[in-house]
Amino acid sequence: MLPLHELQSAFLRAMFAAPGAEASLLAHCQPGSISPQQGLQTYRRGIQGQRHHALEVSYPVLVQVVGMAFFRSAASIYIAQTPSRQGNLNCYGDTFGDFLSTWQPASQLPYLGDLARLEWAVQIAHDAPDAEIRTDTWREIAPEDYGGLRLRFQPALVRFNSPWPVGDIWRAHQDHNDEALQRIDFTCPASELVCRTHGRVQVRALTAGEVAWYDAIGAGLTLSEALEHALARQSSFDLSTALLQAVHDGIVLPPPLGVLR
Amino acid sequence: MSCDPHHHGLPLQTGIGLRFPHHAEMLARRPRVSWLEVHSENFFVEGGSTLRVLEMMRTNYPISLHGVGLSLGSIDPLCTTHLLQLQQLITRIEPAAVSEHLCWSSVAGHYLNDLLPLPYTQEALHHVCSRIDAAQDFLQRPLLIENVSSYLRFDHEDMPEWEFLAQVAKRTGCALLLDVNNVYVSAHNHGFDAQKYINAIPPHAVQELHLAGYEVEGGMYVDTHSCPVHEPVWALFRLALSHLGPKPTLIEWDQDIPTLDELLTEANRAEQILNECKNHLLREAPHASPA
Repeated sequence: MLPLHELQSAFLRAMFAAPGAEASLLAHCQPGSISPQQGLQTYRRGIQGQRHHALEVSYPVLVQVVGMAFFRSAASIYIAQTPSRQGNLNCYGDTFGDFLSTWQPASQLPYLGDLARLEWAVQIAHDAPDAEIRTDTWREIAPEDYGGLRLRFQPALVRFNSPWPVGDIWRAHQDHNDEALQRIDFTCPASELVCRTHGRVQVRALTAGEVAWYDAIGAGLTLSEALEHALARQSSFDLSTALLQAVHDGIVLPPPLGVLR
Repeated sequence: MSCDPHHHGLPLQTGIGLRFPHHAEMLARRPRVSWLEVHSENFFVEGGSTLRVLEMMRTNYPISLHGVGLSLGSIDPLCTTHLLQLQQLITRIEPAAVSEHLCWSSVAGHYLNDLLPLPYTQEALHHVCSRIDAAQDFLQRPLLIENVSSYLRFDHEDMPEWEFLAQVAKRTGCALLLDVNNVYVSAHNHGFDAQKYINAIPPHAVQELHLAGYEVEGGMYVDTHSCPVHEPVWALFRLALSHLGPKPTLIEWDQDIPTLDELLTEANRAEQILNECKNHLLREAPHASPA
């Protein structure tokens, strides 16, 4: 019998290396009601199947966009190249977008990589820490102090840019909206906000002013400074609408009470 | 290792595996079922609706956290991050039981994310016991350790699987989660006697039983959790109860997940058999009837 570490290494090689690599493990297996080769094949199929399933769960819009057959062929190559590094298989597949961006058979659909990255961002937002929403804190703030506030974002927030309209693609597939799919302008870049409002992850398209406003807040600027940035990009930017919406949805959070004044 | 004073164990009744497709319906209906089991790793998240569902469920049902990714039998170092995430979940959910598998799933930092078989050797026994000791010390509570289905056996082993399992419980003080379906599946695949296996398990060590469905692939039984419990497994369950006494029992269903009502019907069947076992014990007990 092989020592435990050699047996486990031989098992790993038998699962992922080329046919023939399983000989060193099979030499230490006992034939029973089933052949050791058949047993190894069952483990191989199980391991591959679980990885395929993990990717299909993480990338449901991609599956809809390219169809299951194409998705599975991409996933098979990715799985062969990409080891799992955690005991929690839900974390597997974070680099699938990078893979799709360079995978030649997907070159006709150059937005697939960014669509995958957006779906991963949605998953991260879904499981991010809950924000402690204290609406009473807003009431503590004197009107004249608003301009100097430095707001925080909810932990689930992700800003997402792409040269492709991946936000529109994502939204159209949430409710299988064929009409919205037909209207997508593939020359239009995406500036999106991934956030969690009332427990649900949303992907929102931002105007140029909102992009400047959110990015300024994210950079730690005050509300006054963020407003200047937003107006410079979009003269019609409406601060009260943007702020009310962001506060109502818990996207921006007030500073802790102690630092208000 | 000290035991958690708040740990009272699972109810001596039947539970079901709580899976994502049933979350909304479970929240809306809160059906009569005695306890729920979830895969721990599915709740290794920091917030959001997934965790909130479990936090709401725990107010109505005792929860069992069942891990699939700790890789207790691996020669790699125990993953501290994984243990910390499990510990955080335990603190949050205050489960009635925490279980893992007698298997390995990683080598050289490469995770296979499957329940892989150990060779039943003295070396493997010593190794896996030291790892269970370390995990129990870290979590400051006893674990329930489950036997897995297997599709491969190694030669020159030192003992049969049932002896290995009993030794693990004896040496580490862990409890056992005896999966009756896994015993049946492995007995078929490796040609051993399932009854002999069950009868070799120390009753006092067993704190939970699992039941599930398997599928037949090319003459091999595969533990797929994709269908109802097969009749021979129900028969083995009865035999297990007669040897072990009544134990908390779970119906697991992870693929081709049925309606919640179908799952509850399966759990009711297990509950009836469990009740027969309890009633039998009452009749057998010398002072069972009122004076």
